[in-house]
Amino acid sequence: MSTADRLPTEPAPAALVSGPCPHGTRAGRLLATALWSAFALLGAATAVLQGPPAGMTGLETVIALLTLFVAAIVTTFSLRYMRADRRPGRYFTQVGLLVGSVLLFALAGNVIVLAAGWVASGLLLAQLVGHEAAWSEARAAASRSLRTFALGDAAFLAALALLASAAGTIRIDAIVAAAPALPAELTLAAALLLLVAAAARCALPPFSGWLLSSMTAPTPVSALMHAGLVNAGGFLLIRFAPVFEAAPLARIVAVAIGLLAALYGVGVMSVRPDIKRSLAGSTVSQMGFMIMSCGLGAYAAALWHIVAHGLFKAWLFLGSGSSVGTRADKAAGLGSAGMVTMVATATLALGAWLTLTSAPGGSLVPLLLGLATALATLAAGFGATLPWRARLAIGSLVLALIGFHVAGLTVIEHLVGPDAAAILPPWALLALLAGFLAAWVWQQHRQARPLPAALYIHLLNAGIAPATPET
Amino acid sequence: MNMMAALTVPDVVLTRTETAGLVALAARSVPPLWPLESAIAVNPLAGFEDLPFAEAVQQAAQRFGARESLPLTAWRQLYAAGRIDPRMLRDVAIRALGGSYPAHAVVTPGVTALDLLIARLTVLDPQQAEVEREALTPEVAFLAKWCAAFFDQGQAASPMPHRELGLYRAVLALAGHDPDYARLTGTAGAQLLLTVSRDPLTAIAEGLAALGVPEGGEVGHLAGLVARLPGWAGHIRWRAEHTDPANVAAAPGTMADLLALWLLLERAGALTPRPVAADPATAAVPALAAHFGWDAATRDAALASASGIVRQVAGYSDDRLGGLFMTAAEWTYRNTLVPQLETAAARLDVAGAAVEARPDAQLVFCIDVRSEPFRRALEAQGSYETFGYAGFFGLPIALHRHGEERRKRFLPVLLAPQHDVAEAPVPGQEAAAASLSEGLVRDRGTAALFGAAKQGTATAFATAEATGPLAGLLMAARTVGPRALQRVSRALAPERSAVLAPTLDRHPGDCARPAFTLEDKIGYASALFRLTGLKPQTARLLVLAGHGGSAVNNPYAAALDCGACGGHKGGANARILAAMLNEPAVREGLAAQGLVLPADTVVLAAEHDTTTDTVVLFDRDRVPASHAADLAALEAALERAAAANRARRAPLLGRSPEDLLTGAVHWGEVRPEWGLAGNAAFLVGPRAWTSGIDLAGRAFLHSYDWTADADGTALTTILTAPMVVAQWINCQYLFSTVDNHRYGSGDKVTQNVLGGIGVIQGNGGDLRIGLPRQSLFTDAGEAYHVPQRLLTVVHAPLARVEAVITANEILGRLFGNGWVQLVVIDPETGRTRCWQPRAEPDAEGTDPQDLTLA
Repeated sequence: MSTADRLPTEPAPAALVSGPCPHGTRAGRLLATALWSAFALLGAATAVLQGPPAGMTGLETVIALLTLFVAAIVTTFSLRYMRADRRPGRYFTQVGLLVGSVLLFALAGNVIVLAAGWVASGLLLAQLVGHEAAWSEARAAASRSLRTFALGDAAFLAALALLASAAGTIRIDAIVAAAPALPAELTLAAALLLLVAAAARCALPPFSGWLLSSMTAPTPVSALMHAGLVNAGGFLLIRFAPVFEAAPLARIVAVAIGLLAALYGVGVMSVRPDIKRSLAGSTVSQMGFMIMSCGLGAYAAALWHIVAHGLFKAWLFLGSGSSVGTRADKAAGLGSAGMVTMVATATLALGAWLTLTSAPGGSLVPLLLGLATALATLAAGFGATLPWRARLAIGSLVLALIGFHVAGLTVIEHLVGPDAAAILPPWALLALLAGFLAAWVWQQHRQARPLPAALYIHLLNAGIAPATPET
Repeated sequence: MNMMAALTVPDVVLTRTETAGLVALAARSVPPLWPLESAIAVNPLAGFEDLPFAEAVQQAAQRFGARESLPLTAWRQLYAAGRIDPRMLRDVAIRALGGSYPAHAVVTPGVTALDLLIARLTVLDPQQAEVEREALTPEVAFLAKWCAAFFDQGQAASPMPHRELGLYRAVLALAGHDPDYARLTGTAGAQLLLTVSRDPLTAIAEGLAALGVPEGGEVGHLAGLVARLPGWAGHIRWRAEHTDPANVAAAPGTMADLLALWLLLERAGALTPRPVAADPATAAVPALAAHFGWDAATRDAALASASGIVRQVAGYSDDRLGGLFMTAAEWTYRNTLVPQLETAAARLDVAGAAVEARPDAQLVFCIDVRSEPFRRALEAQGSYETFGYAGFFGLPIALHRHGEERRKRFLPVLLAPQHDVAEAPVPGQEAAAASLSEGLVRDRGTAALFGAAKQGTATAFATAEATGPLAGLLMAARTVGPRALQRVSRALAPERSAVLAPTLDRHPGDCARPAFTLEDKIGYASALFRLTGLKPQTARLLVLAGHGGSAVNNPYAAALDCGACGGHKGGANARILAAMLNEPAVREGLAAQGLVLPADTVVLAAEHDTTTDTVVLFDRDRVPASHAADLAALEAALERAAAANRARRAPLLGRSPEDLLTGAVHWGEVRPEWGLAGNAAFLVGPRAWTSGIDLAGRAFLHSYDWTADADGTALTTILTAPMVVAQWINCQYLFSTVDNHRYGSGDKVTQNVLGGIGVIQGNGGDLRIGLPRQSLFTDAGEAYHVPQRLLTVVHAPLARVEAVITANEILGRLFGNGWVQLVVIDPETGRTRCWQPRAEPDAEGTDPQDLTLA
């Protein structure tokens, strides 16, 4: 023997090595190609037509584009990331089917297809949460997701059955058109059932547990879940908007539950010591805000939130391996509590002025919170105790991001059309706004001080499945 | 034990001092665990090194609930792939049966004992089922949750309350509010919360007394508790022993805190009993009977035979069989490598007399196993001589990197920093350095702003919306065109190493004091010659090459860097020693010691990127014009060597050479390189001895010239420092492969970075130790790293090696207990000796014996 020892060389077949994309299985590569092509095609068509392609609504186009884009990224990422997976064929097939089922319900014309796609997406997602089948925790997380989805799906099917039978049609457009004329109790029941379905998918309390304990999923699955699947609830509320508009109480419930989730999620995020569950807390919060916007009737703001948050969260999940590194101290971040108080007061004053001088719509809350964010980050960026060039760079970045935000919102408004009539009286909108701002000011004033023990533990334990001693 | 007795406050027998002593002893059962930002390989069984290897593995397996060996199926895959010589397996089996005579005893007509054992090794179904990932027990989940919250370094925006009280008292203060605690401990737990001592040491003494732990059994009891959370216990040891106290002051947690919590849970009856390993007994008898076609009578006769050999073979556990496979793998490797080294040593003596021409350049690399193939590739490119030296170049330094708050230790963890070194702008690059540091400040400011904005209840939503589009663009770029993105970011910012360099003359805390005195510099410079056997007649270019890996978005990136530099890239250390060697005063000092370097020798520092095989030469613009041609030739040779080594490595990774460059910057890449997987040998001797042998990237190479080390001090240093580090690395890879869930960190795709310090799996559980699955196993799930102990081969007179071992207790332990196998090739007698560990069955003491080669 000429060498000291031989490692298993097994050079891969030449074609595999020299090709442009040598990673993953054939199924995975095919899926990635298909997803990128579909995204490019649909994106180009939308851009050329300056609107949704024939046969598709703005909502459908936006959801389809987001799903295809995130899925294409996640699949391409997985070609490397999942290289040592024990069941790569199953993985890529299930991801492909999952994306297919999302597109199916997003583009569905009738409730049968909608229900089929919706239920299938839940089943497939649970399968992927439990992808590491030899791990009891993964199986437990998968069955927890399944149980939550079963509940939500039952509500969903009941709502669809109610609406279809009352409207005498299975076509969604027809049902939606008929909604204002249906009996009020029936639309209210259907809307509340739809809200349960949406809350289960969006992981709003009391359904947050499945999402907060889903870290047994491979990282790219989490990215797809947080960027794509959890949005389904928002899609549902926008798709069935006329049903909700015919049932004002359901909208108020949506606002309430959304507000609760938004604040609760921020709390969960802030106490978690691990990156992935911290991101999950953030998702609960963001989904709460989005459902609240839907309830307020700010559909364009909600849809834009779905898109932008999806990209944001996929980015953070896929990059979650970068968070190694200990920090000696916390940088000041948003600047002094005094500045925050000033921004909050100014925002509230503007809100008050707007409610006095005009009849504000539901989008008042998201828009003014956006304004407060812009003011606070600009003030912190330009006003930081840094060299002027660094301040200029940070400030310009913030300005550019604000530009992105405004442009995105404008495009979405163009695609989905007008918001619903306001559901809450102006004073209630103002109170809602004041609630967010007050919580923010409180947060900034406490900053480094820990939370009260009981609240801290409640947030830390959120979503932890109670461990039962083995017998 | 009476449950109620555990709850009453007993008469405490032990004093606090005594208890502290017991805690310190119990703490030794786990090694320190470094945070992943400076990952250091440690032997997970370091606390068991006092025992012979086999016994240590067995005891550790019981304590940690781990496997003792790879599963039989995995060994058979390696066997089928030709990684284990069948003759070696046979020899190992014969030895296990007590020698040739009992092995060839006929047990049933036509069947020998050896046949039985070989059948069990290679054919019969494994007795142990493949265990799945062990489920988290509630008490482990509970304590792991609180350790995570307590030791978090900057992930959570809202820290755990009461951290200043210490881990034990902080958890006591919160447990009353925690429904998990109530579920776990019931009323007993609630009662204990009121009565238990608030002082962890007193609480431990109380707990030991209340549980009735017998005198003399305390350490064992406490060590068993420590082993239930080896990751967090290891992290606590790191905090106590291996970092600057200021870094961990915010969360004062000690081993006593952790043990006091464990005893609290134990007293409350909340511990899940450890599963007791089933006795394999004679479970394999039916399988043996079926395989050899025995009828009932034959079987009974065989079982009843006086020698009991059938029972013995049938009683072997799979772990025991796996241990035989490991020995066979070690023998296979040794018996292939050692004869080649013997032949080469013989040739060396003949060639030694020849006058050597001055090489075009000399390059000193780290001893790391990844240096070897690159050195071989470079040597093939021209007249280049290479050396192996510990990658920190002998400099025990802590580096204060520009723009970072904390100093980092760029030295082997066996040492304490002796010099604090700062970074300063390279002369002529002051403006670029200023813009670089402004960029750092800007980036930190941006990150802080983003971090704060996404946490605010009023700002979290618009922040997500505003950053979403940019995130989408960056995500696409990082996924589809990471190398283009890298080119863009390189064009935007100056290369850090081109504008900043470690400075020798200024202490970071005290500008008046230099980081090194002239004596220090001369000492470190001369050590290079003393330890490696580098002759003072140096080439026109002498290059010191540190190394590091390239990985992005990878929690284990630092595990690819230089272990001798404390899990960092080694360029800084190389630059410092190069600067010393170029100083005229240092040259004069060396000359005074008889080390007269040629005046035309220019010393350069470099860094070898082990992922891409590119070599960056630092400060190349300060090379005098007279050496420009030498430099150009060397750079061309380095590029050719890089291409050659990439071409060699690519098939091992199942990828194209070009893709290695992409993988180094791709955020989805989980295995940018194989790291030190495959490491198997530590060779001490001149390069001329090993340069003709393809060592396949499996050997640490430390240069050594026995003729220049009459008193053995250099050999002592090499065996007690670099070899010990190599042994830690070897054991980390070995045990991470053997049980990837217990001693390794499991699958990368479900890992979750915790508190900036390490990873957990999924939703919670212990901080993970060791290496991830992807670093050790192929995509198909086969072991790429064959678990085998380090084989040290020393090219030196036997008597000198013996003297060194006798004088150093640690070597007697490592070689005597079989943690490292030692072979000495004596250049004076030409004989090869194999150090016989104490515990081997056929050993007759620790005297060296002739190596019998099959």
